Amino acid sequence: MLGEEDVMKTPLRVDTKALSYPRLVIDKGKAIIATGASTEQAYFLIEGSARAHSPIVNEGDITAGHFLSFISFLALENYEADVIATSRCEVLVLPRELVENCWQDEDRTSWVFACSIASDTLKKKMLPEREIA
Amino acid sequence: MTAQIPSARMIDGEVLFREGDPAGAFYLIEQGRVLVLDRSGNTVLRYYEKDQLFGIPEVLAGAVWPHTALVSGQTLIRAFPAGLLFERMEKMPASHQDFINSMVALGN
Repeated sequence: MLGEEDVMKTPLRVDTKALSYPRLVIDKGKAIIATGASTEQAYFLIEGSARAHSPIVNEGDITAGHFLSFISFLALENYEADVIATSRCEVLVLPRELVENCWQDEDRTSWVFACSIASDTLKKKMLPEREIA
Repeated sequence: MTAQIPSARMIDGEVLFREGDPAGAFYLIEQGRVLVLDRSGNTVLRYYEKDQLFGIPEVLAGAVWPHTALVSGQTLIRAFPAGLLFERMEKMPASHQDFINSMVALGN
């Protein structure tokens, strides 16, 4: 497992358009994201706190103003761990296309780099070793 | 960015970089596969395939490659020099630079 780090602040600004997308209200102890859920949607925490139960990336406590399991969102087709509300949470659910477009409107290269680094980080931790035949 | 860098054709078994070499470039695979080996050279730790970009964390960290990588099969690959990466980083908005650097710190 990677060492516990402060949750990374993404460069994305959640503007009024994004705030009009659907919201989930999740009680403490319930799953916001279930393992295997599609990363076609990003989850942005508006209120409350949560914890990702990942054996690979320890995001620590995720607080309001952050995306949930953003490394998985960047790198994978499916979230690789449950994210559980540690208090009552209000979560904005955003389509991948919106996140990607907003990001690339500011800088296309950093999107490519971020996806590559996220993928590399998870690959280094996830792929099983195998002998060369 | 790819337009500035020509692809190189590599043959099966050719070494892309060796453990301890300075990470002076990052790579885009256009065809084939790159295997990253453990110190014994007998175990594949991970591999990279078509359309995958790798090596950015090592280059940004100014690291040496921790493992040897070699090519499997006929492979087309573009090697982007470190200078190009730093140039691109400098052109990014500060918030994007900070995010990329925090991701590198998380992964190294």
